[in-house]
Amino acid sequence: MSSSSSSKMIELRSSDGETFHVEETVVLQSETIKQMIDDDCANAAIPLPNVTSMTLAKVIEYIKKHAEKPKDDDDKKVAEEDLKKFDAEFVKVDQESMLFDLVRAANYLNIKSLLDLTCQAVADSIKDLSVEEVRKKFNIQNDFTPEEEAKVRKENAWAFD
Amino acid sequence: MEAIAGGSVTGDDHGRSSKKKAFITNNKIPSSMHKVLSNDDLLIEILLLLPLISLHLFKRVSKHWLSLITSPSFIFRRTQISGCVPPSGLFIVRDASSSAYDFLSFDSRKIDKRSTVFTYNSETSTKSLIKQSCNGLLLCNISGDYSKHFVYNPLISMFKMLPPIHPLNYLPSCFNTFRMAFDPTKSPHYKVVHVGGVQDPVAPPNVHGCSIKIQTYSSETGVWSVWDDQFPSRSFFGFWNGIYSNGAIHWLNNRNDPFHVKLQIVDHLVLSNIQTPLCVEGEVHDDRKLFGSYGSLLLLCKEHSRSRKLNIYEMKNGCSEWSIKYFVILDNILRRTWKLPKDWDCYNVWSIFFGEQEEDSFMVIELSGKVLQYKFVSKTVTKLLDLGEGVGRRDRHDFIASFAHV
Repeated sequence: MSSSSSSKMIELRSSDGETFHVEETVVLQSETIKQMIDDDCANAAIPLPNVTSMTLAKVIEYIKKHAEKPKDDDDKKVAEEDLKKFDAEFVKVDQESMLFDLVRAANYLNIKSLLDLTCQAVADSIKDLSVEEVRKKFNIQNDFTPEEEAKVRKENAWAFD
Repeated sequence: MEAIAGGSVTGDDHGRSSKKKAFITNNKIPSSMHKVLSNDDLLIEILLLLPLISLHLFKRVSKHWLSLITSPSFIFRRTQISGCVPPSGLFIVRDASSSAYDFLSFDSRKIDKRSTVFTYNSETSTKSLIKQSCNGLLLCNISGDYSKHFVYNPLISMFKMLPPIHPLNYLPSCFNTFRMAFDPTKSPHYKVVHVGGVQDPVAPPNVHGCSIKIQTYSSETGVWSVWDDQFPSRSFFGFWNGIYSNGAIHWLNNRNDPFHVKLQIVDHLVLSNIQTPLCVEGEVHDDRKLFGSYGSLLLLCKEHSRSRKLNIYEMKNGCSEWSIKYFVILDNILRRTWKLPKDWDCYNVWSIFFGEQEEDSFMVIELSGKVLQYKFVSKTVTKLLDLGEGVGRRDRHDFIASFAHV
């Protein structure tokens, strides 16, 4: 296990020009950046034109937390619980748009666990909504003709009509 | 910048799905939300994480959502996601003489929780009865013709008539029982087990002198196979009520037996007795009932049928021992919410579900026609429906949402 003091630092630059210094071991959770480092493209600051500094700061908070390694097996259980709590708190964002920014950033940076976590949070936010509420929330236009909608409705009529 | 493509779900935010953007106008929602929702790859990742019942409902959101949710590749991926699916409702037979079912939804989106009529298999005019609900599929029987059974997925309205069983020298009206075995977390295929009585060569010709022959139907091969083994009929009295869990069918056979019977269906058949928990006095509980839940088999025990103290035991996958999970005193939980007569005792436990998260675990109780849901961890009681008196003994079956094909 590499100690934090000796780890190489990687410089990331957000779309609004802010730079962040993150340990290489931490930043390797991003498959996209890992690929760049492997390809030796990470000698200068890595530009991330799709990620704002606000989002990038959140992403770094996430990958830093997920890079912490437990010392032994006892510690492992505690750490797992702790990580679960962290994840649950992490997706409780003030602005809903931040959650979607994180989905995009996780996708762009290819961080699988963060993509799963944020997509789950979006799914959870709509799972109990009615069809009309989903349309309203996402501003989706109902493009079914009344006949077409009746046909789709008929399929689950016994359950939801 | 082009170098940052990676192997992510999509490398390009403005890529493949732009043609669908027409349906989403971005003037009212944050741009990040718009960008995610108009990217099909990301939208699919989100939709995949929805509960099946929500997914089924959301087919109506728009044409585009309908096409995504019903695409074969989406359905395939969704069925790969395993996990405990809680029952989303109950089918309750309307009255003893009919085969019409009411659907009682546990889902809060339905204001009137009682559907008007539920007639599945509407393609045929014949009446059918639900025999068993097993992890998303229903085993049904054409009423009046005991040889005709079909498997039905009510969520996707798909059904399949089973071929006839092999004619062996079955004794008339001796057992002739069908049970289904299906666990989508293990295999997309199901089995149907038929139990029938044949003449026991050494016993006199009556029902108790018969021995059991077993046939199984596999949805993978589409044929019935007859097993060589023969079993004593005395172990199969409760088979008609058997519950499938963890590769075996389990049933309570005799009221006084301090065990339940387990029939394992692997590359051969294994019949065994498993000790059930006893009362404090060392006696067999007067009232016992088995329930199935994805990850485990559950046993509800009461000292006598009118007792308001429930012991709920669990047998986890891979275990062959019962362990106590919950001890529930109904008086304590119900009196907080309901005014109850002093000596109420007319109630039925209709359904028990243990979720992956303990907070999701609940049971459904019918009490003088009121259908109540009780959550074990939060200790909250919710009234789902008032069916009126006299429904307690009606036949009912869990509805579990599934995309499984039959």
